[in-house]
Amino acid sequence: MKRASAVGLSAAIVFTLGVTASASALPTKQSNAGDSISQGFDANDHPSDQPQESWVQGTDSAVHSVYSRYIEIVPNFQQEPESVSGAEMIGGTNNFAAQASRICSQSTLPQHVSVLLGGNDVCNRPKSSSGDAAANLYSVETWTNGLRAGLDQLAACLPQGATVQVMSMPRVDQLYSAGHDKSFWCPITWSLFNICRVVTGEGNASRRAQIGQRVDEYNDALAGEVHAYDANTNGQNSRGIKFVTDWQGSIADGANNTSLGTHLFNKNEINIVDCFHPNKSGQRELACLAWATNPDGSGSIPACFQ
Amino acid sequence: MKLHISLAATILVAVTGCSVGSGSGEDSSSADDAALTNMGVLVREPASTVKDYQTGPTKIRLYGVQNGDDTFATIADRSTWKTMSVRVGDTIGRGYRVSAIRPGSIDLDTVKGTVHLAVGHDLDVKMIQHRFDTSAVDHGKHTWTVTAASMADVHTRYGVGATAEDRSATPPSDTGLPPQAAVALLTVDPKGVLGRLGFHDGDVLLSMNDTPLTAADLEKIADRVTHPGTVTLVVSDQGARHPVTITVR
Repeated sequence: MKRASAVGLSAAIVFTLGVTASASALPTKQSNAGDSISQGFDANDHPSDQPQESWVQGTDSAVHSVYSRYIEIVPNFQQEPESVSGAEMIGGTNNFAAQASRICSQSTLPQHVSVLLGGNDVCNRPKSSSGDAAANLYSVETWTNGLRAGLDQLAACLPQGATVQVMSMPRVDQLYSAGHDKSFWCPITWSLFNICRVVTGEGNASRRAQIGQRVDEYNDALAGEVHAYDANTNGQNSRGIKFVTDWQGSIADGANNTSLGTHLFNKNEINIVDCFHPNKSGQRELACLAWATNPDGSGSIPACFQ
Repeated sequence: MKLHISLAATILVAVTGCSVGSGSGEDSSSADDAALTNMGVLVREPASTVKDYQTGPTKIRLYGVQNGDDTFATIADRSTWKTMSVRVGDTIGRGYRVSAIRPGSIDLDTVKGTVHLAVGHDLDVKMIQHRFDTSAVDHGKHTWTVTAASMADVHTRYGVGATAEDRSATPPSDTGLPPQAAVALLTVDPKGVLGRLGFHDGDVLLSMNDTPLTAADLEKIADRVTHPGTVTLVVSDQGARHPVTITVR
């Protein structure tokens, strides 16, 4: 409760500053690093990228994306997304550091960057046969160093006054629960297409929770890094780029539905094709959350999840 | 309500036979042998000469290690930020072999001895690659370029290097979805054609150039990427279907 009050106070200060600041303080361009969630994959039950339905880059008024919300207050607002379906925070050639490098190579640099990655880092790992279901996931140290590799680049390249908003990653065990409640088709499609088998192929709820706990640890580390960059306590942000996150603590901390990482997805918020990605309702909630936790934005987090 | 799911018989695509040596320079002349050692080549490709290798400087960073069922280290190539998970015995390029993974660090063997790399630190390396290693290059955003001649040689020496099974299911009518079908890769040899194209065990293929695939079509993929042109494979990454565009030169 004390933490929530502090966040509320910060939000009030930001809002006040936002009212008095000149319009030039608002960004004129955004970019993002992300995966299939940011590509709006399958949000309208068509099995392909549907960027118009994305929480961050979408143009569908039913989603009311971050981009749409900026357009309402900044004429000629531009965007140049870099999210790629299948991307990880750590693995492969489209990871966060690679996407951050692409953002830094854009001919016109953005003043607002959204980051949402991590689901594939969990889902692409093999199931563990040991007592710890999270044994084969990336260590928190690995996760943190991959995150830093991207944040270092953004801190160095973005224009002064820019904001980097790093969203927490959803708990895949919660997505499993939502799909399990949705349809008996969901376990079939998970098996058919090998969808996040580390959790959808795990029949033991306590072992799925172990994976969810690792996600909490990733999100705790993410928030720690965001705060270190924002305050420049790590010496990597001498130019004063603003870093923010939605993460306020875990479900175990009593922070249900205060961030993407603690959102308890229900069956009406995920699509029917793969039963694992947010549908338009889920994307709309995510856009609302991102805007409510964006220094340029407004809104009530609880209202986003009603 | 109709529901049907079938897991068709596994179709094994044999790795084509050829002797694969692992020794140093067994297929090279003594002059090549000395030159390869001088170049720093630790892991040699059989029946190859010095001109089959190229080198370039880069930095690698050790992100961290994980000690679970599967102990591995995660390394990033700082020139592209491409990462790889390596285990003891794996190689980084042709000049470094992982010889130990410990909490907080790894050891890498080279022809000149062992080097130590700590978590969070960078190491200047001379990346040595055989032309097979660069037969398919991932440019990110699911775009690849493939060198037809080198990939043809990979195909001849290592084959498709994968096994797969057909999977299909008919969703319940209230979903409004059509029948679903996929090809799931069961095993992938990193030396084979599909491994060179970045595929791993568990990956799911759906179509090639708009034609649905079956497990019997792996050879067709391998054949297609050994001839100039453009190939579009649709794959499923954790349910997210997307095209992979391969330009074959």
